[in-house]
Formats: sequence, C-alpha cells, structure tokens
Amino acid sequence: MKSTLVIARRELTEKRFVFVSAIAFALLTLIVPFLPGVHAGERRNALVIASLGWAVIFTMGLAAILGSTIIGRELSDGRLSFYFSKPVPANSIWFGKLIAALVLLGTCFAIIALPAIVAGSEEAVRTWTNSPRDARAVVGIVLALAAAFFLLSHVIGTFVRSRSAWLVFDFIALAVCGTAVWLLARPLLLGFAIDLIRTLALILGLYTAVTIIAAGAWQVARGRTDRKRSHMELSRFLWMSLGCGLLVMAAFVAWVVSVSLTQVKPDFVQQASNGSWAMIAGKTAHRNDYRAAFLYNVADGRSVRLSSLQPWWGTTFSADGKSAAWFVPSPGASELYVARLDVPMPTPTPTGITGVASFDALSDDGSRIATIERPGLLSVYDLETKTSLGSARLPDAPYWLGDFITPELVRIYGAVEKPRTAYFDIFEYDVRKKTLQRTGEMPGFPRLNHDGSLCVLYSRRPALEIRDARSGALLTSVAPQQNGQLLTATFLRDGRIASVEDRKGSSLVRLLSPNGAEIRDTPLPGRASRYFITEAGSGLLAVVMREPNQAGFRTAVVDVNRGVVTRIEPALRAADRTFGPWLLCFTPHGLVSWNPATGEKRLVTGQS
Amino acid sequence: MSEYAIEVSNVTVRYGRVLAVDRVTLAVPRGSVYALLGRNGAGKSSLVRCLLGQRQPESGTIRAFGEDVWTHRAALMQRMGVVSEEADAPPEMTVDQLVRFCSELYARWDQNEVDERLKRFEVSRSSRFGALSKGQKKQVLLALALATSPDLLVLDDPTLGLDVVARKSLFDEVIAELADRGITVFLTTHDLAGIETLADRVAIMKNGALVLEEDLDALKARFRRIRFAAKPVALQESALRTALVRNWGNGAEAIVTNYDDVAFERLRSTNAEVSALSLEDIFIAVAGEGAQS
Repeated sequence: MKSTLVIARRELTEKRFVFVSAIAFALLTLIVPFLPGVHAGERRNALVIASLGWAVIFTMGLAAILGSTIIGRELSDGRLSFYFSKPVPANSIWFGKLIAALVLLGTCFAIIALPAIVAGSEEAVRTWTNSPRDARAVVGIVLALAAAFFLLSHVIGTFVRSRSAWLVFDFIALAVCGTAVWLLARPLLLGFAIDLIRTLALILGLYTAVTIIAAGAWQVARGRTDRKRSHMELSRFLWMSLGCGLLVMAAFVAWVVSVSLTQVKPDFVQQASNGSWAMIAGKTAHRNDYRAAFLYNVADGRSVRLSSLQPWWGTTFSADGKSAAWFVPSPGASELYVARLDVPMPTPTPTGITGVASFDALSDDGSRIATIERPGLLSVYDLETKTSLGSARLPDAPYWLGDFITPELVRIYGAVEKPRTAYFDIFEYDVRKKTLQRTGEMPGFPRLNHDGSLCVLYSRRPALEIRDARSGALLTSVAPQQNGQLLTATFLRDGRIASVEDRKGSSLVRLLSPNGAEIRDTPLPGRASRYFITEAGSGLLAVVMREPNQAGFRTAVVDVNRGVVTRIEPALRAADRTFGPWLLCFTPHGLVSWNPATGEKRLVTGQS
Repeated sequence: MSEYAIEVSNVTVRYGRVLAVDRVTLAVPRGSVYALLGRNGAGKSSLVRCLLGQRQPESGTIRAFGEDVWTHRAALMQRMGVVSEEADAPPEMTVDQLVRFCSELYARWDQNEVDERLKRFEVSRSSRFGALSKGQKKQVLLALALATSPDLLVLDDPTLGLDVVARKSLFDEVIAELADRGITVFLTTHDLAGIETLADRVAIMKNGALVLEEDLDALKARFRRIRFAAKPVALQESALRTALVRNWGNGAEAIVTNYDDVAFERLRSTNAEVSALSLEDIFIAVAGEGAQS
C-alpha cells in the first residue's frame, strides 16, 4: 500500500503542471462575463456556462491523454523499467498510476468548475438538467464519463503503441463482443425490456470498467517492460474476461427469454372472433419489464411463443379465425409475421413486409392484409405471394380503424384531428381497381356488425344510433327509456344489437333487432360505473360491470334469448377483445379461460 | 542458502522470430565480480532484463539468492541495486525528487551514501534528470543503486557515456570497493581493460549463445598467443586448439585456447614464441569476426 501511494504521489508530482493549467483555465473563465456582448444580467450565467463547459472539455481531454499515456507511453519510451528495477510490486505501479490519474481528473474538474459552484451550483446544474436537485448526479456522470474515457484510452493507447499483430485479434474480438452485445440486447428489445436493458447496460459498463482496471493490473504484472507482451496480456485478460461476462449475461438473457406462459402477467389479450386462438402478452415474473407474447388456444391450452409482439395495435386475426398477423418491432421498421392457426402447432412466419404500420387488418380468409403507415400510406398485400396488391395515400390521421369488407374492398375510418361534427372520415379502397374513394363521415366511434354494413354509435350520445357503416348516414336511433342513460352497445354475431342502460338505480340489457326494434330487456343485478359486453355464443352475453368507486369487477352472464341473468361471477373481468364459448378473463389470481355457460375456469397464467 | 547470487539455467529469449538469447546457463558466485561480455546485439541486455525480472524468458529459469526473479522480483529488488543501460528515470524529476522517491521504497536506504556520492560526482541535486549529461545520469543512477545497500549490484553497461576519469573512478573505486565488501557485482561492459583487473569471472555471449564462462585467471592461463617466424604452422601436432589464426609479418600468429607448456615444447623447433593475452585479445579471439567458435 505504501509503495502504491509513493507511486501515486510521484505521478502527481510529475504532472503538477496539469493543476497549474486547470487553475489557469479557471481564471480564464472569470474573464468571460466581461467579454463584449455579454449583458450585465447574463454575467452569472455566462460564468457558469463557461466554467462548466471548460471543466467538462478539460476533464475529458485530460482523461483521454492520461489514459493513452499511463502505461502505453512509458512502455514505448522504455521508461517502465525504472519502476520495475525498484522493490515495487506490479500492482502498486498500476494502482498508484491509476489513483494519481483519478485524483488528477477529479481535482482538475473541481478547480475549473469552482467559479460555477461559487456563482451558484443550482444555476450550474440547471443549465443542463432543469433540476437543481441533480447536482451530485451531474458531477457523478461527468466524472464517471471521464473515468470511462480514461480507461478506454488506456486500452486503445496500449493497443496502438504496441504496433503488434495482436491488434488484428483485438479488432476481431471487438467485433465479436459488439455482435454478442447486439445479439443479447435484441431479444430484450423485442421484449420491450427497456429498464432491464438499461440495468444490464449499467452492469456491463461497470463490469467492463472493473475488467479494464483488472486487465491493466494483469498487463503490468505479466507484461512488465515488454511492450508487445504487455499488449498481449492486456488483450488476453480483457477479451477473456469480457467474454466470460458476456457468457454470464447470455445465460441470464436466455433465462429471461425462456419465460413460460404461466409466468406472464398479461396486460394484453386478444381473442379471435372465430376459433379458439388468442394472443396474450404482458410483463413477466422476476424479469423486470421484459414482455413476452404467446399465441394461446383457449380450448386445449396449446401455446406458441412469439419472439415479440407490439401490443395494443398491429395484432389481428382473420374473421375465420384461421390466421393471425402481428408486427415484430425492430429498429427502423417492424416486420409483419403471420401464422396459420388451423394446423396442430402454428409457426410464426416472417413475411418480409416491413414498415412502421399504425394499422393492419386481415381479410376474412387471411389471404390478404391491409396496413397503414404514417402519414397515411394504405397498402394491401397478398400474403401467399408476399406481393403488394396496391396502395393509396390517405389523409394523415391520429389513428385509423377499418377492415376488409370483402377481399377486394377495404374500408378505413380515419380519425379527424379536431373533431366537430365528424369524428371519422370514411374511405374505401378497391383493390382490383386500385382506387380510393371517400364515402362519408362518422360522427362517433363506430361498432360494426359482422358484415360491415351497419354500425352502432352510443358514446356521448342521447340515443343509440344505427348508421350505415359505408356512408355514416343515420338509419335509426333508439332512445333510452324512462330517462335512462345509454352506457354501451354492440352488434351480436347474429345481427341483433345488445345495449346496456342505466335507469334510476338499476341497469338492464336491451336486446334490439338490426333495425332498432325492441326485442327484450333483461335486468342486471345492481349498478356499475362502467359496462362492457362480450358475446359468449348460444345467446349468452358476458356483461362486465365495474363496481362503483372502481372497487373491482363482476361479470353477469345474460341469456338474451330468455331474458335472464344465469350467473354472476365476482372478481372476474372478460378481456376487451374476447369471444366465447371460452372467454379469457382477468381475475385477482391471474388470467383464466372461463366458460360462461358452465362457469368452469381454467387458469392460463398466474396462481392457481 | 545457495552459494550463487545468480543462477541462470537454460534461458531462451525471443523477439518474434529473432532469437536473442539461446539456452544460456551461467552462475554467479556470491561476492564475485562477474563480467558478461559480448558485442552489440549479442543478447546481454536481454539477459539482464530477464535477470531483473522485467521480462519473462521463453524458457528456462533465473534465480537470484535462490529465488525465482520473475515471481519474487519486488522482494529481490530490495537486495539488488540496478544501473540500467538506458537512463530510464523520469526526465521531469529532479535529482532530489529521485532520491526522495527511492528512499521511500528501500528498507536499507543509506542516505549518507547517496549524499556523498552525489557530492563526489558533483551533480546538482536541483537539476532535472532529463537535463543531465549521459554520464551524469549514469552517476546518479549508480549513486541511487549504491544507497540501497545492495547484496547484488547489476550494472548494464555502466560506463556508457562516462568520461575517462569517471570510468576509471567507477572501476577503481566503486567496483573495487564493493568487491572488497563482498558485494556481488554483475555487469555487462565493453570496457574490457577497465574490468580486467577486477573481474573474478567472465562470460562471453555471441549471437545469443554463451560461448565462454570461466574464472578470469584460468581463462588467461589457457588463452595464449603463439607467433611463428615462418609458415607453415604445424599446430595440429602439438594438440593445441586455435581460436584464431592470422598472418603476422612473414609468419603467422595463432591464438590458442588450451595452452600448456608441455604441448608448446613440441613447437620449439619452429621458433615459435608464446605471449600472454589481454582480456580484450581473448574477447576478439572468441567473439570477433574471424573467431572459430
């Protein structure tokens, strides 16, 4: 330890002129506020900016110079033998020099930044961060960057000055490590694990810093005064150690991505309107913010891991339930993947269709897909041949809705930027003629029927409106009865309409014919703050009721044909886009598939 | 405890494809003055770097006081004073700073020794090391090395850059004094005349290999010059081996490496004359260009 400090002191003595330079720079900043053009009221800020700017530039430059000369220059000048001919352990040589360099960096930064600190550290930090609370963090980041710069410069300095053939190996190793880092980061990026990546990057950065420090000690101990061997030893230790670190990280990443469906905490569930497949995605247990996605068969429990899934948009099933499509994100442009679902085990298949799509829809038979990329480029592709069938430019919109009405006709509802009377412009694209036509506008959010000919509007409206889905023209409206309030409405698959109304303390499900004629009312038990209807087949509806004060959910099973509530399921909420006979539902214990007819539940993810 | 201060065993050093030291084995007895000689590029400095634990040989081992110099370098340096071939001290440091720096590292530091030496060498203590002349640098390094109270002093070409007076002082005063005190001195030098009276044992390297290692007295006893007034020379009959044969006037001159009086008697009939050789003559005969190695 004593010899380490002796070396450190010697190094500091040798480089004392650097302190003098730092003081000169600090004094130089005192002139800045009085330069022509600096207003009287801005002098303090000018001082702070000049002082901090110089401090950062000087510290970074010094870090680069010190790093590249700490060992490399003495080796190439043949001066390291001076230390080695003394009774000084190699570790003392390295750590003594290292301590001196770090002291030099920290002290010089403090000296040059002193005017800024004296003038007001709050202003100093606010210059960069808008937050005076982060003063320590800013200083920490600058010094950490300087230390990193110093260590990297040491490595590069040693490599370059040795003029050894090992440099080729270094380039190869660097390329391998870089590739490995990308390969490790990619699956995490696909899993949207930004926090996890940040944490791993921090760990890798610290590990690399420690590795370079240890490699430096190893280099000095094993390479001693031999320039080429010094390079070789540094390279060997550095790359082997980084390789081991990356292997450990690879094992960790492999563990992260090998998540099973039961470990997913789903926040995204989408079920095909036909068939029994669903997409489930969400964060995962013990894996920070890593998200995993699965195709899941609610009937038999089969599941297929998806490499990634952009939740909330870009996922779609064909109306026949035999195809699924989704976008796998990647830097620049996402790629569309598809899977046939009418096979024993669906296989995700890349289509080569890339883009940053804001909307996509599959044709009923799953043979075609329509996508919209900003700012409004509508494209239709044939998935069999992976060729474009046509494209058209739509007016840009905050978002789009739509579907294939027939395989040759795509209807798009483009949201209006500043809605007045119209909330959506309606367009139809004829794939055969490759023509785009504006067909009308819709004054609210449309819920379409099965064939896309009609839609219902209910949100923020006094009465339920049945409109022509192509033109938006009002066909009929159905007012709530007994001064009731319309809460939700949807088309059932058989063309009938189910709505929920609140009538002075009670709520009920109204069943209407496609033209709005009254069929039957079914009273619901109690009231709720929000309602949501999903269809479970055989005339059964699952009506999700949010308890008042958002205390939780319960779901009522309504037999609309008989007009009775057959079952109440507490603490259960059907997912937004789910269809029977097995519905995917959230419970406090996890995601379950639930049969509203029988009440049977099967745990999909979570605790049993 | 080993009777040798240094034991070099089968050491090989390479720089890439260049063989610098080729399977060298030698031993330096404690208390001796040992001179390692060789022409430029013979491999002396490479061997010294290995001896100081600054470079690991490709194969072989080097021990100092019975301990491996590569593994125990730092501890061994407490017992070794070193004057390297290149004046490697930091040029920005003043002599005084150098003295202070070294004094903190050695357990047996002798401040009086260094003060006296520097005074005698007339080196200004406030001078920057880089500003000193080549000879002064060597003198400072020598003063520092001697102040460590070493059991072994390693001098790699210590006379390089020294003027005649300083060179004579080094040999006649310093090394002789150390020899008297029983301190082992291992040195490489090109100043053969200077070392001739002091060295107990010499080794000669040529092209990386050790071609000779012997006590100086024994060496000088067996190396002789024989001059013949006329040709041809019939040395084969005498059983004397020659290191060098060359023309000398109308006759010839041979350097023999295994001289003995009985063998020489057989050459009396040829009017041959025998004379002793200096270390320099022996070195030229062994390491020179015409040498029959």
